[in-house]
Amino acid sequence: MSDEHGPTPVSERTDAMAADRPLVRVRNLQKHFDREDSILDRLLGDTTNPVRAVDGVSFDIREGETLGLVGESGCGKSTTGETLLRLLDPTGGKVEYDGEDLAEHEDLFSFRRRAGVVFQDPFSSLDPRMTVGASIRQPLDIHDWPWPHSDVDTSRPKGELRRERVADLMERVGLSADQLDRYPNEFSGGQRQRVGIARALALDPEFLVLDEPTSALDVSVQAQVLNLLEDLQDDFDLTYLFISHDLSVIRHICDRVAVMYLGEIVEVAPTEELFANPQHPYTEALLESVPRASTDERDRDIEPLTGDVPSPRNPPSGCRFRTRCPKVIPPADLELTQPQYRAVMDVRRRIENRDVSLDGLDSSGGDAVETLFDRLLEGVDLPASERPHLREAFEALVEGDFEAAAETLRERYASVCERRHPDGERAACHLDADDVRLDADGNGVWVGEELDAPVTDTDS
Amino acid sequence: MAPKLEVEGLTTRFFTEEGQINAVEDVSFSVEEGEVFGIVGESGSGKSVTALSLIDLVERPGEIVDGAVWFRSPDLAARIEDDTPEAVDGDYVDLQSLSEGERRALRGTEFSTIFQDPMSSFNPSLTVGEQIAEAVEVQRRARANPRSVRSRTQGYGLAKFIGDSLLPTRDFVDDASHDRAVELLEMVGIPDPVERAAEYPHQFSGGMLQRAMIAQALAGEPSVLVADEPTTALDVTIQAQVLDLLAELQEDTGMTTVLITHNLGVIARMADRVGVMYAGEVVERGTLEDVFDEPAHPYTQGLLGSSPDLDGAADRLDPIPGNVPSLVDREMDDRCYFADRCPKAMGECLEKPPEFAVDGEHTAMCYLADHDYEEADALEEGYFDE
Ligand code: SF4
Ligand code: SF4
Repeated sequence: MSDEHGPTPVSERTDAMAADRPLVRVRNLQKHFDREDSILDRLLGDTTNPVRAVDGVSFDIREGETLGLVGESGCGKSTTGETLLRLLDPTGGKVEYDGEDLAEHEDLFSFRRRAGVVFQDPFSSLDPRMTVGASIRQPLDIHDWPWPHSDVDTSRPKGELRRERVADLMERVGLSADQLDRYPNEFSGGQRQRVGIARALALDPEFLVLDEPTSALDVSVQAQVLNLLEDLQDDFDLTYLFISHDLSVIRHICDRVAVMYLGEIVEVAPTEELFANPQHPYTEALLESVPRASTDERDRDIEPLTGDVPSPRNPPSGCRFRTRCPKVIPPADLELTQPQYRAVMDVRRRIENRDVSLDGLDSSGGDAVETLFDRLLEGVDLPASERPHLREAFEALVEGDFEAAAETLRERYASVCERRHPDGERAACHLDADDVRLDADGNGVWVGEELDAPVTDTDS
Repeated sequence: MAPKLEVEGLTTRFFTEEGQINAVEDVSFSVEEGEVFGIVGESGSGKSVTALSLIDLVERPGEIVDGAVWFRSPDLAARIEDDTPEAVDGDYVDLQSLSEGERRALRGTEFSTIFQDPMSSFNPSLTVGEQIAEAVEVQRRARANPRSVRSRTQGYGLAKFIGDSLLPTRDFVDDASHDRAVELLEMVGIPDPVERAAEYPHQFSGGMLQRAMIAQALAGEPSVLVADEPTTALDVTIQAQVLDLLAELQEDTGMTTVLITHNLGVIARMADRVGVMYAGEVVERGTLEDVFDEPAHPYTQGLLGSSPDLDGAADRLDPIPGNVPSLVDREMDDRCYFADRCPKAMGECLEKPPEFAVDGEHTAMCYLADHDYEEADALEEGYFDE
């Protein structure tokens, strides 16, 4: 995804542009972590590729909306939030806030007034030695509130004004002002999260990043905090980026949702559309995986995704979801069903990863090849037309030549999903490309040009 | 069908510096053979301590102070009847009254556990295969001689970790046990089990290690599995895999399972019957349909009402006001523990409600299960505010 529009100089901006300009505009944002290798890693000879936690994400957040960022652990959603707020320095890409490129700001002091953050863990985000009143007041002191144009009688002493503001914030988040002098450990988890929210609101921001704000809470208390966040959004005209792994919470609170997988956004859509009609196979699988709290749940058939999320140090080429995708797109001339193709691709990946045991193979005869068929493709009934290709690969394998075996399979079975990085308005998936023919089950076949040359991933 | 487990009046307390904590208070329920009994509750409800109490793994300063866990095992009952008649009732033995040695011999063979954090049940310095093989070995020996060894990996702690790192005893395991370990890894869906068996726990992903823990738990072919938040640390796509696996194993082995979780969806997917815990008590129990479709206790109703729904967004959630009580003995009045958060609290609720039958085996610890709400008896608002 590239950014066609450079930043518009302030002098050229018109009111019309401001009207449909998103409050936050994120383009191709990247955050890589070059890690310090631990002794253990060095002992194990682990590679030192950087972790590509966020790897080229683009999205807009419109004024007054709640954009959800959802994904599983390690997908980069929290890092996206922190990088957007410049709590972390981006590796690449751009964040515009209210039309201004944050990288061009000398200091972020005024931005910090306008954008706040609430973290998941109300226990660790509050200083245990500070009263909650002092915690909420801290940003007011740091930013020397009230400012000249503030909505209060600035002729009064600042200390008094700040005390009043803190008391008012406590009440706004559903706590009582006479709890100001208590310490965090005297509060329950839900109350601490309310304190965290009050603190985030202290400077009257217009934008909040809410990073798993209810994930540490029990469901009965979570409901209280979700309702509070909705009320505050109305009362203070807030715009939210709501980061969560919990799809039910996301559905409940968001207007639009972006789904992340392995450092990338795979689908963005208005909430109702995304949940009713997911376009990306990962979104679909994610929604299907969530167990519903209903008595029909036992009879709901689901096909869980297989395998684990690959390492963000070494993400798969092309579509990053392809190693787990149940719909990965085969080339045109195969006679394989989707599960058969999937099985062959799994074998291929294992061979590429040198993850096949050759123990106990008798390398002299054809038996060894049959043994490999049994070991690697047990229960997969391959059509006769495909067996020769696998046979050729397994023969190389018996000789210990993993590279040749992998190459044989690559030539025959390579998918567009590994060769090209998918793109798309709504879902980053090749299934809706013109060169893919869909069957009745929604599975696709690549009918476009030959794909023998890998097309490099434009994002990396 | 005769229940596999009958829990009667189980009471577990923690004696801490802050005072006595009533973690599990007079809990009773029964679990039928081959079913999944789900225990659902929020943090501080006592659900995990209940799990630990079932298998007597409560550690100091906790102590089971009362109650019985009757376990149906005709063989064991016949064998120990003469020595410990007080622990036997017909085909049942009371786990609480068994000798420590007998009880230990049951763990892993008849009873197995899986927990939220698989790292805690594996020794980082031994391969996964060795550890599962060892569980197989220990169970074999225990079956042969109930008073024998204890696994190095059960109740794994720091001191043991240091000891084990210094003194690894790899010759403990024979080939047959190792082969069985590979079989078990294959059974729980670990690809390339031969290779994986030779790897160390840190080389496994979270989901894979959870599977390995299940393999380890099944090594002794237990008849009862206690699973405490078995999928809570996992992402949803991996959770779906592990739940599928558990359901499959349950079906194949006919195991009786006690599943403890805070996740209502996991309960709905897995459980036949359910107990809802609040403040150390089972406040409602019945079939999944009873509890989810016809909840009788206001807490159960509140719990279901406060969960956002994936399949249709409500405009506004209906939270339960207030917070979970502390469970510190001196702060607990002898009333319905939910009264301070209950929208229907009445004068009589200041006295502890007994367990009422709602319908058949569906019970609830609430006066409303016995008679209708009388608005005239309602406690005035703010009654519990100091
Ligand atoms: S691009 Fe291919 S692998 Fe990726 S989600 Fe779409 S079909 Fe699956
Ligand atoms: S006994 Fe009374 S206070 Fe307790 S749940 Fe029932 S109605 Fe509410």
